[in-house]
Amino acid sequence: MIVINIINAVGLSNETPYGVMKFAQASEKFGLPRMITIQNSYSLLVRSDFESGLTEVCSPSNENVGLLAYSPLCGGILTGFSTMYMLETNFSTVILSSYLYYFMSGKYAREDCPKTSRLNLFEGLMPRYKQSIAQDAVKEYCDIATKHDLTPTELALAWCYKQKHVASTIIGATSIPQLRENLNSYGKIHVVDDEIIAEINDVYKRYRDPSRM
Amino acid sequence: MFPKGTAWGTCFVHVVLRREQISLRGGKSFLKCSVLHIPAISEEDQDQCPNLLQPAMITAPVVLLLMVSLFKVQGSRSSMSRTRSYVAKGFSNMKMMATPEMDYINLGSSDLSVSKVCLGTMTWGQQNTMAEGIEQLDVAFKEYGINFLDTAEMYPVPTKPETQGETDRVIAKWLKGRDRSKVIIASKVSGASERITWLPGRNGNGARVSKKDIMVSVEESLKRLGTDYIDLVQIHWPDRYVPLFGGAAYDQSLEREFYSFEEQLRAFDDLIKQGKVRHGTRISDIS
Repeated sequence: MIVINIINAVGLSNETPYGVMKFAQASEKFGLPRMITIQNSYSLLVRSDFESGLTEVCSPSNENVGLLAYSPLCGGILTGFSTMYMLETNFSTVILSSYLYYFMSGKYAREDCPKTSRLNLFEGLMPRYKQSIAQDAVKEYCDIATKHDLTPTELALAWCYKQKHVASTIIGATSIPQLRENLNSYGKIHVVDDEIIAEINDVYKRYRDPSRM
Repeated sequence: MFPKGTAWGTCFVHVVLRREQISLRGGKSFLKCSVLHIPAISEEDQDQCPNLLQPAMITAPVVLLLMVSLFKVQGSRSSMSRTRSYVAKGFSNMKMMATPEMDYINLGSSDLSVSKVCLGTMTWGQQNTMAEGIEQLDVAFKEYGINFLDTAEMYPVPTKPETQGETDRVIAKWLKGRDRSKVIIASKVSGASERITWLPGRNGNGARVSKKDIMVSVEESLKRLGTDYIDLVQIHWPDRYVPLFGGAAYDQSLEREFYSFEEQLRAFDDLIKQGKVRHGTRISDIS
């Protein structure tokens, strides 16, 4: 028998530990449906919001709320392309970037990343990622990626895919090659070993909340 | 086409190869470009002589060639082969990488089994066309074993009255004729916003998360998606005040009245029960 409901389950998004707990209390008290997911921003650059309180609240042994991590690449900044850092690290990108800058107008050249990326398309949507401290953190994560033969995208995504408290990671792409890189990064979860995690955590110690304005 | 009087307007005219030790595979030599400032050709000059080329248009290709040759001559013995291997690796990554095997996980205590990677949709209808959205769905679901997608009533972003609902319509088109039970759809009821006054069924009022808003929002989402159920409905952001989207620290003075946690949950409870009623009538129809 197939049971068809209008909705099967309910969840939260952009919530705080207080909100998750209040919903959990109300569910218990009145015998109402439980919130089973929380969709919050979670990435190498935006860790502390979730990790400082929600990891405990949402743990399977506590309220059992699965994290659906959004913006795992911070609108593209964790791909490393937007930081100009790749100019220094990859010869083929030197050619590519200078060629791009050559053909782009001044408006483009002054920007830090391609005009079509979400960072630039939506004024004010994510200015927090453009500030220099976030860029510095990205450079450090790019270093770790290159050292271990990963692209920055692969590192950022595989790290997120692998986190125990992440139920599912929401990826977004505007082109098929981007989408494929995001999906192929799932094959790298075994590459992100304890050594890499330790290196990442070392950077995290210095950049707790680099996107905070 | 070229900026006037900026460093970029002059483009690269000075290229040096610098061996730089960076923490990259034990330290290697890398190409470093530096930019020398030469004033760009002014608009007046260009008016007088329309065929005049900006310095950048001449120097950039030359410099590119120069960079390549310098790299060849001065690079360490393995630099070119390393470059080749970089390129080859890039290609192999793109073309020959085996499709990774997907894992699945149950959400919370539910029996919804979703892929560890969820397909986001918020660009479809804004940055991506319907055809592109459908192609993304095909690639993710057919090739990579994804079974989970996430949309919202206000998508695509940035939310606008002209485009609101477009993302759902892309999904609806793709869903048609597909086995619905193989797809886990997550959507969202918008949180409180005075600015967003164009959501359907709200009579031009701003978005809230009252019981009525939740019921209307889900009904409208079902219509747009062309399906009779949504697997997971999320509250996009809280009805009460919280610092949102990387905003400042919590500010007590911004606290406001909000629909209770209980009221919001009761709305979802009703939606789940309604579905069961609907299901009941179906069974009796069949028998």
